[in-house]
Amino acid sequence: MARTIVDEGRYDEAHLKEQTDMPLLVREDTGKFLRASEVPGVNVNADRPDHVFVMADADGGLRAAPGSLGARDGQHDETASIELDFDPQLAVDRTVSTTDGSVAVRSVWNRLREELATYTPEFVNEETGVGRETHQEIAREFAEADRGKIIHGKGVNDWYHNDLGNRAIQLLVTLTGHIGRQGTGLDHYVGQEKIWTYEGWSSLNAPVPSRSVPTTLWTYYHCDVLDNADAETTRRVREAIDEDWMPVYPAEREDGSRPDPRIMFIWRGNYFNQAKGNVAVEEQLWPKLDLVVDVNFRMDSSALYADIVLPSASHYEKHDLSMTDMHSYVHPFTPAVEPLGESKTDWQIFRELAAKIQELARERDDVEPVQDREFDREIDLESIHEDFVRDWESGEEGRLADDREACEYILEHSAETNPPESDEQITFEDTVEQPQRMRAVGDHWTSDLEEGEPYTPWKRYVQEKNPWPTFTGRQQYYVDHDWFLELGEELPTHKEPPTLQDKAEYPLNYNTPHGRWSIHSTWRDSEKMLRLQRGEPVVHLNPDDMEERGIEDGDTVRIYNDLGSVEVQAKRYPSGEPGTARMYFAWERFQFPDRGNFNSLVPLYMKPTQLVQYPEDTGEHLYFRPNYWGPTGVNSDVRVEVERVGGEGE
Amino acid sequence: MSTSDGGETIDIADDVDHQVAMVMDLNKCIGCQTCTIACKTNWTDGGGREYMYWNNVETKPGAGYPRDWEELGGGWDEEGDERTPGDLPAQEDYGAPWDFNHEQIMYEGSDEPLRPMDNAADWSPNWDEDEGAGEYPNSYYFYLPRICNHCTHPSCVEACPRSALYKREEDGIVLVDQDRCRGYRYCVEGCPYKKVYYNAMKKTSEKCIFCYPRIEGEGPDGEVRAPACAEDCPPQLRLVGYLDDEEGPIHKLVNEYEVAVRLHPEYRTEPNVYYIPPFAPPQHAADGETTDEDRIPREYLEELFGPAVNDALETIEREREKVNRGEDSEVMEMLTTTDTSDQYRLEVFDEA
Repeated sequence: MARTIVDEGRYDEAHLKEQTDMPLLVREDTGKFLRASEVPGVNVNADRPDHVFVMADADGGLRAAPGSLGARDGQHDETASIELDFDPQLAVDRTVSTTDGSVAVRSVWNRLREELATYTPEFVNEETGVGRETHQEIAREFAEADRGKIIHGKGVNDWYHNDLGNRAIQLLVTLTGHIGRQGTGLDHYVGQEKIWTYEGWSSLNAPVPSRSVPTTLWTYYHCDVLDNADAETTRRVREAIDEDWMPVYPAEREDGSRPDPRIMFIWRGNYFNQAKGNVAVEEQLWPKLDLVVDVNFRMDSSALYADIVLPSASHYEKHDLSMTDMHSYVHPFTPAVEPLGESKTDWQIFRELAAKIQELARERDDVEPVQDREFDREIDLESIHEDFVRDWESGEEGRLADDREACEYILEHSAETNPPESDEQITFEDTVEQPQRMRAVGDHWTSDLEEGEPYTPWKRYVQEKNPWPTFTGRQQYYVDHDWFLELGEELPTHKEPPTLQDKAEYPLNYNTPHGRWSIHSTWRDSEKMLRLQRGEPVVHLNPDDMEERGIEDGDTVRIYNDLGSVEVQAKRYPSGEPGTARMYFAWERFQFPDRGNFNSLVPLYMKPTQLVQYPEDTGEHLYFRPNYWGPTGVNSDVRVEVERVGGEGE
Repeated sequence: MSTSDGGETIDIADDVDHQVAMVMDLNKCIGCQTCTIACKTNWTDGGGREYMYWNNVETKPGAGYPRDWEELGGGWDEEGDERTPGDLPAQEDYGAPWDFNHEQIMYEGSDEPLRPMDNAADWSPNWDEDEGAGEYPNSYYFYLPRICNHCTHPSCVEACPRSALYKREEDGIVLVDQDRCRGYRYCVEGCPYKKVYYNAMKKTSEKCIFCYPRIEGEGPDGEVRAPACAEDCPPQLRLVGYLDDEEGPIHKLVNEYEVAVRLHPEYRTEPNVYYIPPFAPPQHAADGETTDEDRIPREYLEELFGPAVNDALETIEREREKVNRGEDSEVMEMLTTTDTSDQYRLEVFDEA
């Protein structure tokens, strides 16, 4: 589609010149962006000219690209601008006289065009099955629409090359300029990921520095996958950890050793069921743990495999706040009934744990404060409960003893619900009366909130011309990180999926998409819901694949690959692509004979490009932040074979 | 029959003042079963009703609930005078309300997998979910939510020798008088949609009551609410009101624009639940190109909704094109409104 848009001249040229890295020059010898520091005579007013990029103007003169990281103050700098006072050329192929002598350079645009030339209609049809005309027709309609928007779910993210997929999809809105206005953009709907009241939440959650880790990497590391992975992946994962691009805990000790994790608290998740690489989690990680505590309102697989289950209140038994990036309102949870039995709200569970620790520490009277190894802070067990309930901002003791007050604290300390320089404040009571639209947006948003309009991101960059929070200060499709260059992924590109299982031995693709019969694993074993299904796990198979294997609807089948084997019921599914075994995910371990599950067939694997920091040294563009940048768990690109169980002769 | 001011006639039963009605837009149904669960938790969670789904959602083409109900007869003959004989569904065609071995697994240390107990699982109300018909990539299916149609000419009412079934005078809701019912099940046989159920524990028949306590204003704060299946629907595919409310969208969609059609009109019970027929993307050719071929065969839709489905689909198509051209379309507005006072018009005949 991008090729059609470019070849047929349906792109938004002004947008590409002002808003994107397409005019930036790239050295042919190194594949790196040409930097202003390398070109004598480029007029640059910046602290870090080696972080300033170069474009060619209409007369062939070389110009510093406005908004480059080296010319602005950190990732976000509203005082800088990408507004142009010259006409940068998109198509550039020339030599430049640099401090290294004469160097051939090409613009990102020229490189992109070369990349896109691969994707002829024949190639697209061959790879995707989509018609030669059909995909071009969609491209034209999208490009010519007054406002175009792409909405996609999490499916792309299941695949190993999900970063390439997402970059390619995003490229369409960039090329067409469908971005930064109402009704445009790329909406990626994957759950409740962006917290509107981020400031209040993080002030409550982590008033002192805290340790977040990318769960995928943490699991990968502690399941000892590095011992078995290929040499190149191992090298890259180690480098990402050694360079501190991605954190792993427990932290490395001074002697270079890293202890195993010993205690696991599972809260608001069903880790033991939902982790990819389920076999490794059970066999490698679980034996390392001395104690597993599960805070849960369901008896799920993690609870069954935990040492201690702390029963918690469900959504309708407590005070809490609900927000999502799909709309701009805050909703309350209020208790319709009191928590059942011995269960307590999560806030009370953690508070009482802190109270007990404080009580025991005071009884002993010899517990010295512990200096944090990594952060400048002390942990004093004798005051840990007091610290828990203290309002850290005002110093008020005991304020945060109950859940509702914790909600109030979040609302109070967020610009969205308590804008500075304004009397408008949303209280918990207001949200009970009716859901409240956010009053404003904090710095972590990219547009203002406008009355009567849905929130639409990127306006600050597209309309107000602030630099984008990238290395180049522009929508950046060319990434000149060494790893991206080594892997040939400096631009979005098409790559074949990695082959993890032998295709001849395991002829079927196996995928585990989100189901609609549960919210992840929650309610997956609900009797009411199971009565509307088949009461047990099923795999959806195309009738042709069933016939070939002598399988009929309702038969028990074994799905297997080199990692594991699970028994489920076969379900006839004519809408499934031939050659695909689909098991909608989140069945609990205890729903399978032998306690395998849908993840037993899925290895732990991770794409190294998602472990980087960029720029390598300072990381303003890409750096680890939960839900923003880090490795995804990958669960497609898996192959299996399916056979009937209990067939004749067995 | 009631006559509107404009002289136009709206067919409702002779002995009712008004007639409740529902329009379901099948293009919005995602098969999530929220309506099914809403109905079940309100009305059929125990007391011999466990197997009943007064509201169910089935995949079409498919066997439905109870299995192959469309082949069980019932309804009226061509003249609409004589009832057509119908059969009782076999209990196994409803599927059993399975109990599961949670207790043994969670608390007694059983290593068995969680399963319906007593090997009960070989059919269920939604067993053939998503199967449909056709071949990849041109396979097709859609979801059909079903409740009692609260028919204008109900064969279940006629079937009862004790006159236990009746249409409520004020709004045409079809009810079973539990004091008169002796559990003969003629109504179960007589209903061609198989939407009356026999309660073996109580020994009476029971059915969808159109959530009448809700529409009578029995909410916690005395408020009027639409039936739970409608209000709880995530995509809000149901419009609820009175067929004889001429200002309401149901009358307009059914009688004026004729885009909302009856399921199996040939049963001649004159249902008051109407459907906006489903559209599907066109078929793909072998080379992956999009064609002009209907994905859902038109004959199949005619089989379900009768010949009126053709005009309905064409009108909707025309109205969609209008919107695409930037013109106004009352039909599309009614079908896409998010204003609950338009979706649910249940207080229009209340005395001021």
